[in-house]
Amino acid sequence: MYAYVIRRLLWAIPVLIGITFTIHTVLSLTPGDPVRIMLGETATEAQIEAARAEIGLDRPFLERYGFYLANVVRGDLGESYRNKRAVAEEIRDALPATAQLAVAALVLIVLLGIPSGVMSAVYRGTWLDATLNILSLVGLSMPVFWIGLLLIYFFGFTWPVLPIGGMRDGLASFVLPAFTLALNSYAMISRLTRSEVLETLGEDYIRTARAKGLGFNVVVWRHALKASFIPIITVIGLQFGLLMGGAVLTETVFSWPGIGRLMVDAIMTRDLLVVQGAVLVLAIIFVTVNLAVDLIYAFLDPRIRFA
Amino acid sequence: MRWSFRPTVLALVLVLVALLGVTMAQDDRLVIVRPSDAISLDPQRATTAPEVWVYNNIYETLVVLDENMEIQPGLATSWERIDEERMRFYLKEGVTFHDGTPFNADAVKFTLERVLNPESPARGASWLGPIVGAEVVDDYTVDIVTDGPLGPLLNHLSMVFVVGIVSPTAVEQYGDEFGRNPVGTGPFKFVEWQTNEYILLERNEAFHGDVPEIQEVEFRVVPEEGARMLSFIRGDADMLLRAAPAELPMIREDPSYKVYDTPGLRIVYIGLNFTQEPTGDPRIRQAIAHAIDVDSINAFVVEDAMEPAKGVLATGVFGYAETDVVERYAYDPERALELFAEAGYEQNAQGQLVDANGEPLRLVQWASVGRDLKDKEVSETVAAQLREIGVTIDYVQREWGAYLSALALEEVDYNMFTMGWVTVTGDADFGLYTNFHQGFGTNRAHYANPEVDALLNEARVNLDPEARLAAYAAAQQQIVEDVVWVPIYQTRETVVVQDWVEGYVPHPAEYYVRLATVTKQ
Repeated sequence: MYAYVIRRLLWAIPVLIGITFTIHTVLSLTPGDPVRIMLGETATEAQIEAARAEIGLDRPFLERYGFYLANVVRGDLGESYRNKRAVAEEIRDALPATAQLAVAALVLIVLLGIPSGVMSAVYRGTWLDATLNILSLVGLSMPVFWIGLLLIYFFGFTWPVLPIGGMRDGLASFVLPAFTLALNSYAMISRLTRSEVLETLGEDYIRTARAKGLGFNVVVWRHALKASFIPIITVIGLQFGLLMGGAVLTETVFSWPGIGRLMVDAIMTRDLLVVQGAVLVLAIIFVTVNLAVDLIYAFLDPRIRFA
Repeated sequence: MRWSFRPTVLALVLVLVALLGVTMAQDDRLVIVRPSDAISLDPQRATTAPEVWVYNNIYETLVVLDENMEIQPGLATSWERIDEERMRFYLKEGVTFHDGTPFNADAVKFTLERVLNPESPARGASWLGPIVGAEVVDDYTVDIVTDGPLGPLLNHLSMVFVVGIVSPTAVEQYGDEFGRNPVGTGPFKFVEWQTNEYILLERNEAFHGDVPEIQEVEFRVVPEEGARMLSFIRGDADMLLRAAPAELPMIREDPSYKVYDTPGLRIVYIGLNFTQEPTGDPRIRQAIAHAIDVDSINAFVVEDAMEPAKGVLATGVFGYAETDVVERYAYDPERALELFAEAGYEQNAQGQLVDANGEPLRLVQWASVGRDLKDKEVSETVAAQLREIGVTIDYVQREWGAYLSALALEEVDYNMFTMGWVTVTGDADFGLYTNFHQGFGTNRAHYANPEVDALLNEARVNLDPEARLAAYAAAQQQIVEDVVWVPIYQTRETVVVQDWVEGYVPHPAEYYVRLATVTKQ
């Protein structure tokens, strides 16, 4: 298994290089000059040239990328064009907020999505199944932005029991943003669980288990669900990556000081190294989570061996 | 059949526990909500409103531009002109920076040299114009030196976002991190900054002026407009910056809030390019001006949130003079069609304006998105109004960063462009020389009138305020007659506070939110 892990990690290197190169190229080709945005309209050509030289933008494209890569290998993500702060510092400030929110959302997704999927499957065709299906449909189809604003309106204004933005109110701060962020993935997990469990419930060994006299709960939760777990875990793993990188809207609506907003601000001002650094860190997290998910397979299904 | 609801119950319990954590507002802290976070609290690095709102309470300048747009003493108690290129400032004694460093002439020189450093110029260095440096006379006397006489020198020195005086020891100590550890002499001291969440300041007990009554100020970021409004209405915040225009009428009617507004310093306009045909023809430019219904744009597109523009300069700027721009170019599509006809364009059977060969009257219009309030909507409406009378419009809109780069290109093909200009110095020199002097980089209309150039040159170097005013008045009328811009609106700076907030004085400059006199009852 160790060999497998090492091979996977080595494979991640070209993936990460590809990602940084793509971002570097896309941002360099995007119209809009970071120096002009920073110095404003009245800057003289001499000032623009000086500022360019100061942040290294006067170098050719590939040289800049090579320089960046060499620094990254040494653990240096460079400096923000806008405020000269180390990119690592900027990310360190923003990443925990996003990670905490993503974990909170993930907890909600697992705690609500899996049970509702199982119940939907077990009670197939009943009013409960219909209700849960409608709920999933709503979760899948409503835009995050709109849901967030509705929640803010009802729980922050009509019935003002919850904080509506920022992280300063402890655990309470997480309720609305985590719920908003989770809704979409909840729906996905719930529907996936429903179909997987439905499929498993029709298998022979489930009938055998029931015939042996095992209780219904035990059969559903221990046997049927466990067998359905592999695809569910895969999707949950992918969802975590999406939650980390795709929280921009939730972060904006709920004034959440996370990495999504850092990236949006950086993109607007063409702060290339900040965007590149943030994407790199998110990519590393994504790759790691996926590896972890693959390793979890082995515990869920002893037949799976890594070679 | 028994069911285990344990996971669901657990989730509910978590939610309930979370509910207990809600905190309440504090009495000794002034909470301000605003749309975006500062980039840096170092004036050297960042000069836009989101940071200046904060750091204009941390740093001070030699002289101060007050809410009536007049110059008052700041860290300098008095000043005198030594010669045409040198002004002497006498500094306030006994002032210390928040880190204990004494404020003196060396700190002024240090600040100015840092700003003007050619290797690493300040973001706003270009706004200083011909200022070349500072010379220390003694501990509390300093000369500011210019290359040639500069009429608006004092206005230039009032810009905290360029020449806010910084602590030399703190700059050396923190280096590039100074922007996260700002040290000035102002009424509030920096405490803490959580990126994209809040910046906390506390009052400077050792302030050399009146020590503020408010203990702490928290600048909170709430990017989403609706959420920002709700957080203010439910009392989480004491002050709201950049209120949604659509909500203002409702807020004004509610006695629990106070709305402060004052005309701002920014003009949003449609510029006309003199070097790109057919807008080189004055009849075409006049026709365009008559075809744009500025009043209805202000009423229905800008939702009356701003003031209809009365000229190419904002009314509060030193040098603003009344012109007949509004009457001269009143909305009159009939007159517009007459002028187009004089220039050789008549409406064909389809109502399209075409020349004698049947070629349509085609104008290229450039527009920015997301820079100024409703800039995109204003531009689209202008395009629609011109299309209404038969002009063919090639409409190109760009996000601000891309727009700025496109405007800086050597070859540009626009006939019309949407832009906002804020006269940051509060002096007409920065509003007129930059936009209407031949050859200046930001003269995007490529306007060239030697008579106007002469007036602007004269007003720049003349040290007599009356003579400058006269020159600016003549220049503005000429610019209006030449139809360089169709001014749309002048900003209105609106700050909304809860009724328990007292003592706030609004400033026309969009970046000055001065809190030293504010109290909470």
